[in-house]
Amino acid sequence: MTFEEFLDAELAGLRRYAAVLTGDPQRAHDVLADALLRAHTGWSRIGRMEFPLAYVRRMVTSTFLSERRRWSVRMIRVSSSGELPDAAMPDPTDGVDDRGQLHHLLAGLPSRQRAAVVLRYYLDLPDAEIAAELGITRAAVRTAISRGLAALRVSAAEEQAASAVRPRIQEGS
Amino acid sequence: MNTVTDLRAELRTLAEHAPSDAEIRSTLAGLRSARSKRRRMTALIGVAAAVILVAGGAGITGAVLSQRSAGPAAPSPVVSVPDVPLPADTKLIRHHLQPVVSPVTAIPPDGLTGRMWLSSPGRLAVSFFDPTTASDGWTSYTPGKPSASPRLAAAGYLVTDSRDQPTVLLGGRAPAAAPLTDLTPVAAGGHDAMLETAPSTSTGAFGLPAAQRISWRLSDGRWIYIWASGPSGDPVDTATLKDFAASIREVPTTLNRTIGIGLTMPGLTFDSSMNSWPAITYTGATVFLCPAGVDPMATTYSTSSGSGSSGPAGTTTTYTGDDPATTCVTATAINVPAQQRESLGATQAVRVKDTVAHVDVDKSVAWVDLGNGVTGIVGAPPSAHLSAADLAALAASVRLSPAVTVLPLPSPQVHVTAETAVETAVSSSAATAPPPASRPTGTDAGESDRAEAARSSAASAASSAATAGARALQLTVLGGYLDAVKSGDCAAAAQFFIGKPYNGDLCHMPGLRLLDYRIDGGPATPSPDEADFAVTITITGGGETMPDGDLTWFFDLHRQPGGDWRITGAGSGP
Repeated sequence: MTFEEFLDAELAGLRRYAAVLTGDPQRAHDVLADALLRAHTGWSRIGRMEFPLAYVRRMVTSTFLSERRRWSVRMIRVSSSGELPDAAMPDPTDGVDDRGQLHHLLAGLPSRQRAAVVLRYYLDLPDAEIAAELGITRAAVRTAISRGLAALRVSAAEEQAASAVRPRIQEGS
Repeated sequence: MNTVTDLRAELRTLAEHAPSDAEIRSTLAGLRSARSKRRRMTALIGVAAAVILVAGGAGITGAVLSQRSAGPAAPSPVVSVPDVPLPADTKLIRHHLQPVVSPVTAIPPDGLTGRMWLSSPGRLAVSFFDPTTASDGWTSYTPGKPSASPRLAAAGYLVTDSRDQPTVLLGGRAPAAAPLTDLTPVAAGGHDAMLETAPSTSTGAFGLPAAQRISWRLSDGRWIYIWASGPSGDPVDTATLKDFAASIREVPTTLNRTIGIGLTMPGLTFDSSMNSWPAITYTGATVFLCPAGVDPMATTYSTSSGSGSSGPAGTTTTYTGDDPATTCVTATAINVPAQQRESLGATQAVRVKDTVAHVDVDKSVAWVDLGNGVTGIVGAPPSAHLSAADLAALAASVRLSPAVTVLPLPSPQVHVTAETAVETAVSSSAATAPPPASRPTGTDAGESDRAEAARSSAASAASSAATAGARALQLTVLGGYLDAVKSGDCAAAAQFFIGKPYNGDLCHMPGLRLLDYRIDGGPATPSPDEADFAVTITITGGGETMPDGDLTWFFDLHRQPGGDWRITGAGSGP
């Protein structure tokens, strides 16, 4: 499969995944473009893989996590001018109690927790695949999801029920 | 309380706001184009930069300068070159470089006896620096060695056909137009001048400092910009800058070349060059012979207002066109120990009269021994498909001014890992060299490790010159910074770190001491102009957030408009 063929087949799904992962169309654009550029660089190797989509999707995830770990992203980009804010940023969970503000709660999640939640509830990946994607243990995946749901104020009981019977959702659906 | 159903619905909503297919493809095409257009030029510089690492790895230091500084001959406006015989069926023609004349004459500030000048279509820059501390022109540094002029380490002027718009790095992203924060009329030696100030990391044409400049319009309609920097690269006080500006008179001066070449191709006769005296490095002696109007040192960015995907808020950064240098014949000179030149990689040896040229036809480059430890490297446009004989003749026609004293850069402590080599191999279809073994480095590693690392870098340059070349340039900057921090010389470190001080600069962390470091292999390259390195630093005194011992610290480097690399940020995550 050539890189162009890969793009034709998988770009739509990757675009949506990047958008969900980042929660911001602009950042999704940057993260996905960066990841695809690197994928193109190594395509002679990636293109021969059995599941190149999984590898590239992991590159997108890694790029997102790296981007979120970057000091400048955490500390500088909170203001458009590049200057540090004089006052503390408001707690994004303040006053949040309904689904309409889930978006804000998601934006406040630490990157790994957000990625774990997205991989579980958007792509419906099992613990093992999420662990491989994020480079962490299954226990750490469960912890991240549990803490993520708590922060999102999602019922843990429903999560347990969902875990018992979890339908597969195709990427990009 | 929310439900999982709510969460799934919210995630699906986010998916509906994905960037468009066209946006992604357009950006990706731009990034791929920017990468490919640099390969040709980077390959040439890559070999030279690998050579620098080899030279530095041999442990040669600034002492070389003092040993050789006993009265070198003065350089001349044009370097004499040999009369090389033209091969049969050649595509080459003979060429005579012409003298370059500056429209002004400046009196160098005390202690700044070094010279560096650059010229390209529509612009000319002359800088003065202290050669007792400098090894790289205005980007001077020698860790631990104070400048002879504590207030003023470098100064110079820039002449442009049209007004120069500084650029600035904000938020660790691609350069964007720098807003002028102040524009004040000043009197400087009778010139009707303006004092311009811009953000501290702003740079102008050729990547010269632009945070504070005095400018006026010359009688021929061109613009002149005067700048001056302290030992840490920061602007000097206004009075010192005005004093230097006042010394400038509109009297033409013929500038002295440090490199010459006697052959070129038809149509490639318009030269741009970089010249430095008495010290040279990889940026010190290069000449480009290009088609009319082509500026081989032009930045490959353009910026405009509006919402953008790659630039800071309010700007769009665009990669433009093909790399103009790929259309030029290029020659550069760099120093390298003779016994280590062979590590540059497999080339075809071609004799030209008394000169043996080492040719790589595939990369369209060749190098020759210029004597006194200096190697001359030439490149031709790949589209010209020059023969080995032509490339050899081209290389044999290169000479470095005998007046130039050669000063190598200090070597960074490079840790080349198998992973690095694999990354290099992945990025180059021509990669064939096996990965070098992982070796410990640091203070205990000594010269042999640095030399081994340098040889590995040279081998990488041979198998993947594009990747290794950019990496070698990046490592020179990163190693220079870390060496300076380790020696406690924050002034020297500031030459390499142009990000905001609180953006991970180890020099601005109270109480922290860098005991040792190890660069853990090659960088991630989010774009052709950005490289993220992971470095294992051994520290003490960092407080609760940075415990004593080993810690991974990530450094973000950006390519500057002048072609050099600088650290723009650092932190615990890449």
